[in-house]
Parts: sequence; C-alpha cells; structure tokens
Amino acid sequence: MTDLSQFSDITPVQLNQEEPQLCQILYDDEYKSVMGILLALLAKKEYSDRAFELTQAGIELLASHYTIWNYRYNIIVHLDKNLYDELDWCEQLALDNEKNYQIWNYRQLIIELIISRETSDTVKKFNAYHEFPIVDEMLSQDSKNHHVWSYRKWLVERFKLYRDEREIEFVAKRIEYDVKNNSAWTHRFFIKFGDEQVDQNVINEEIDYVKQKIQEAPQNASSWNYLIGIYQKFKKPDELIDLEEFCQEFANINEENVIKSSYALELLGKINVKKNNKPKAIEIYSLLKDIYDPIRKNYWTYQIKEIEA
Amino acid sequence: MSSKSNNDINADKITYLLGLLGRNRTEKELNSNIADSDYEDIEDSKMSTLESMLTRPPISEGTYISDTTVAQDDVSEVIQEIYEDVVQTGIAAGFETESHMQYARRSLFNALPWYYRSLDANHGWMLYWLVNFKQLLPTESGNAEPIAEEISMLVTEKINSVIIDEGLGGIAGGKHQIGHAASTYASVLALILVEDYETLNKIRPNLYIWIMRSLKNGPDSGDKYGSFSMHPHGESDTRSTYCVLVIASLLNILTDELREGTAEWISRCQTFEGGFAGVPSTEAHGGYTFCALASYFFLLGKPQNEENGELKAQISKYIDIDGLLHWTVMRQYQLEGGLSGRTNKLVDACYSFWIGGVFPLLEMVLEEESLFDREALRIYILNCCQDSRGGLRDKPGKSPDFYHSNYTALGLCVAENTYSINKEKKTGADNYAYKITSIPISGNVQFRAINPIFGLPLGYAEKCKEHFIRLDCK
Ligand SMILES: [Zn+2]
Repeated sequence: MTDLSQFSDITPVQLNQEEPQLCQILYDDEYKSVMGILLALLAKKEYSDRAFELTQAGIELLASHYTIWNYRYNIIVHLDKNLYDELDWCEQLALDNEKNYQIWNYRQLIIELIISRETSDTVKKFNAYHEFPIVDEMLSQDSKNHHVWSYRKWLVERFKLYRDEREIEFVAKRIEYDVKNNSAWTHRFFIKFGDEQVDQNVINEEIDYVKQKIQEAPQNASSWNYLIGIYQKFKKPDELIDLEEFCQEFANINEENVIKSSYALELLGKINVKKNNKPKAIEIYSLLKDIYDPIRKNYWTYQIKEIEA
Repeated sequence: MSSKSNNDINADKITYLLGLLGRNRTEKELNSNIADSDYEDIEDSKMSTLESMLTRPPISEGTYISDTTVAQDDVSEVIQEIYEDVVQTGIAAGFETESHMQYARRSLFNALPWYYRSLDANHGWMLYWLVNFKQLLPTESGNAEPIAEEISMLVTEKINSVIIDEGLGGIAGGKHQIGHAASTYASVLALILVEDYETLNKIRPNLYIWIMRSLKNGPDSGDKYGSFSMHPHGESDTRSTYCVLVIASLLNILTDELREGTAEWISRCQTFEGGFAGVPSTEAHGGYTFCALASYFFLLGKPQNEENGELKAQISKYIDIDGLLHWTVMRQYQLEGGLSGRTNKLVDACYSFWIGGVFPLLEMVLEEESLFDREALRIYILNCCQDSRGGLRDKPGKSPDFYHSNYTALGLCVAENTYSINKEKKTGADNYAYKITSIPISGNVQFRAINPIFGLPLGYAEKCKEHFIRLDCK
C-alpha cells in the first residue's frame, strides 16, 4: 500500500462512483485513494515533489492512465527535475510491464526536453545510443512489439541513424533469429532507405540480401514484400521483369509444376502482365485462384478481370 | 428437411475430407453421424467453404522454424481440430444471440469487479462498445430494437460527467481526467446511438475550438502537419486523426481549415507493403489502415455529377489503391478463414472489423461486390470466437471482452452484407461517408448492415448528420 499520510490536507475527488451508472467499476480502496488524491492535486495544479512521487503509484496501478502521465510530465517541467533520472525510472517501469505503451510517447517527450535544454556549452549532449540497451531488451522479450519498434523508428529519424552500423547489426540479428519477423523487415526498410539519400550499391546489396533470405524460407510474405518494395521505390515498373528467373526457382509452372512459394507465383503473374503476356498471366492467376491460394479467389478473379478489361 | 440424396452427398464429402485429413473413420461412425438430427443443419455452401479451408494448398511451408512459425502452428492446430469436429459431427456453431445479449446486459448493468479498473480511462469506450454490440445483435424481426429509455438516460448522464468545460477541453476517459480525442470519439458515438443530439449540440462549437486549439498540428509542426494529437503532448497518428475527422464530420463542424494538410499527411503513412502505419515508416497495421482509408471519405471533394470510377480517381491522387488492396487481401488466412492485423501475425477476431471493415470501403472505391471470402470469415467467428458464457473473443483459448465483442460483431455485419455507394441517396451531406447502401447476402443472414466508416449500425450516423445540417441551415 502506498503511504498517503502526507496528503491529509487533500480531499480525494470521487471517481466514477455514482449509482446507478452503466459499467460501474467497483474500485478497490487503494485505487480509489491514490487516483482520488492524484486527480485532486491535478485539479488544483499542484506541481510538487509529493505529487511527483504519487504519480508513480498511480501509473503502477494503471499504466494506460494518460492523464497521470500527462500530469507527471507537467510536474517534471515545472520542477526542473533531472531528466536522465527520469529516463532511468521509465526504463525500470518498461521492464516491469512490457505491455505499457504510454511510456514510449513519454520517453520521446523527455528526450525532446533534454535536447531543448542543451546549450552550446552542454558538456554531455544526449547520445541516442543511450536508448539501445532498453529497446534491445524490450524487443528480445516481445520481438514484434509495435510500440517499441515505432519508438526505435523515431530514434533513427530523430538522430539520423540511417545505415548506422549498430542499427544495421541489430536488425540483421532480429531477421537472422526469425526471418518472418515483419517488424524487423519494416525497420530494415526504413534504416536503409528512409532518408531518400540512397546510393545504388545499397539497393543492389539489399536485393541480394533479401533474395538469400527468400531461399531460406520461400513461403514468407515479409521477404517478398521487401523485395517488391525495393523495386517499386527505386526501379522503373518494367524492371520487375528482371525477377522472372528468380521467381521461377520457386514457382516452376513450365515443367513439373512445382510451387514452393505462392508469392513467387503471384509475382510471376505480375511480371507477365508487365510483359503484356496476358494469357500467361491469366493462367497463373487461375492457378492461384483454384489451387495455390483459394482463400483469395475473389481477388484473383478480380485480377483476371482487370487484365481482360 | 433435407432429402436422402443430400445426406449422401454430405456423407461423401465427409469421407473425402477425412481422407484429406488423414483420418480413418469406420462406416458405422459415419452412419451414426448421419443419424444425428443436427447434422442436417449444415448447409452445402458452408460445407464447401469449410472443405476449401481445410484443403490446404499444396505448398509446403518448408522446414524453416522460428517463433513466428511455432506460434502459427499452435493456432492452426487448435483451429483445424475445431473445423474437423464440425465436419465430423456435422454441427456448425450458430450465433448464440441470447447468451451474447445476456453478456451485454450483464456488462452494462452489473457492477464490474475491481480489476476492470484497467478500463478506468475508457468509460466512453465501454459505453460505445457495449451499447453498439447490443444494437448489432440479431433480432427476431430483423430490425434493431429501440434502445431502452433506461440505457439512454444513463449514457447521457455518464458522458455528461466526463465532458470538460462544456467541450472546450474535449471529453475525458473518466471523471476528472483530461480530454482525449479517442475518448471523445467513442463518447460521441455512444451519444449518437442513444440519439442525444441535445448534449452534442451543446458542446459542438466548443469541441471545434478544442480541436483547432489543442489537437491540430498546423504548418509549423513540421512532420506532423496535417495530423491531430490525442491531447496536448499526446501521440499523433492515423488513429487520432481519424477520431477527430469522425467527430467533426458527424457534428457538421468539418471546415476546410480543420482538414488542411490532412489528406497529404495520411498518404505518407502508407508503407512499402501497401497497408498503413500509425505514423510514416512504421509497420503496416490493421487498425491504422482502417483509420487511414476511412479518413479519406471525409477528405475528398464532393460526390456530385460523378461518373463510375470517380471515387477511385479522387482517392488515387493520394494513395496507392492496388497496393492497399493487395496488403488487405493478404490478411485473410486459408485455414483459419479469419483475418490478421499485420504480415506474419496471427489471426485475431477484432480484425474482422479493422481489416474486415476495409473491404467494404475498397469495394465501394473499386465498385466490386466482394473482394474477400466472407463465408470463411463467418465460419471463423461463429466456430472459434464465441464464448460459452457470452461475449466474443480474439481466438480460441482467449477470454471475451467488450472490445472484441463489438468489433467481431461488426465483422459479422460486414461478412453478411455487401456495400456500395448510392449516388442518388438523398442526403444533405456533401460527402461519400453518408451515401452508403447495403444488400444482405442471400442465404442464412442474421446481421444487419452497418456504416463501415463509423462502425455503427447503418442509419445512425446519417441521422445525426442530417440533424445538424438542418440545424445549421436555420
Ligand atoms: Zn484483437
């Protein structure tokens, strides 16, 4: 139980406690008093150390309570708290409760505050690498956590970590560990191509890299999306035809009719559309519709109709 | 009801399917199945969809093993067992309307145990999820029953208790909390369900000020220009942006100034995969994709004198429709029939709406009747997502909750109807979002149509909009 003795001067506000009401929550006593006092302090705009400490208890009781997060932030600003200590506090909280997502937006605010307070004589400027251990740890616990990956993307963008060695190594490891981790592929796309200053070598390297990953697991939407994504972003539409031979490795429709990847087959269909080989494209989409990907029969029918139109 | 010959066909199908599944059943067991009176309940069309779902395509998933494949295999195994059981017993689940109605009533009226404090910042949401869920449930007459006076009164009371400064601070997630765009969105929908236009009218000028002053990211906000934040210092993403557009449109306060820069900002959230992310360059995701596409229905020009393809032409100025369609159709899974929220993630019933709801929008844009397998989605929801105590759930093994109950039921409304834009629909609203009509899919259909842009039964958003248009004309 939180010690509330120093709040004897505060009358807790009533939470949603009227009766009758729809969806009434039977709050436990601790929650009622901690939140009641916090919201009372907020109402009188008290920015104090005691309020600051109590926000921690509030957040521990309910991590999604955005009002308390916002209140804590305003206290930090008013009291000129040590911001690095605040980052450490956040870190512990994240490790204790991995589903907590408010924390990541909050962390961005704190870092922005740190930067805004730096002056030309600040000795120790904020270093983005400070963030790597916690983010790595969170992603090793939950490798597709959308909020953590979004935070990581923000870091890259904010601190211009495009094609940064450590960042590349990190994401390569995640893909190595699970080639079907689509969050990792998405992040890779961003660190490689996100700043529009892309040189041709990187594009070619990435095409080789993803092709090799497709060999490892041909029926993997993530790697095929990455490959096609690169072509769409950097190549002329007709250049997709260059991939014909590669696709045939996984979708041999000419001879034995061995299909190792529906994504390869689909891309072959698209390539034949580009080549204006309509009958072949229709044949491929029909194979997908009838045999290799029947759950999407309406979509393949639509594709065939588009070709015939 | 069904004739002997129908039984014969079904018996053959069972033998065929059991063969595919590698099961050997004796003649006697098959006969005992046929003797089961419920057996006749399974329709041929459902049987053939199920047959196709269980018949996995002849592509080996390969020998690759990772966290993703292990998690997927676990789910596949459970669902395959459920479907095999349907085929073997001939008993497919029907929708347990009564038990879900009890769940909705219980959740609204019985006090919730302390651990529901996890929803203490979501009071408006709880009202929307549960009242909407209750309104979506099938009725005997086929028409929605009017909402009980008791519920209407209590919705009005509760939401009035979380409005901040008559709307100047938005609507909060609970008493004494701060205003939040998503809470405001959910609360506005709840008020629309109970048709409390009086409360809405009282706050709408102030909500407009709140949106423009506290939420809109203007031209000086750099990368965020065109989006809206949940609250000052809160996150800005496609979800908060959608919420603000819905509020503003329904209350007839959607000015050009409000939506300045928004269509362009959202377009930057489309990823190389084709779906949309919460902010530019993060991962394409079901919830954000719905919010992004639905937003365009408020952002395009007036649908006047339009010809076929006009909507598509307008929307294609901002986004890659083919890419979006491709990513969206890939969300449906062969065995499960249900939908997933991201590439290589598991099926989850709430995406029956977040992704399921994208389909009617795409179908309206492309003027197509059905771009996914609606029957397969129905099969997933009915057989895998109903909890025996009432309420709907993510997948087998999970507990039902308010959120999944609402979005899964909305998914059934998508699956059982087709949707299109009716250009002649008489409405004062100069906006595609209010020109939607629907046709029930023939067969055993129970669920009424919704307006997929809003996630409300069809008619509620339209009526509210008309109300405020009329008021503003005076
Ligand atoms: Zn879900």
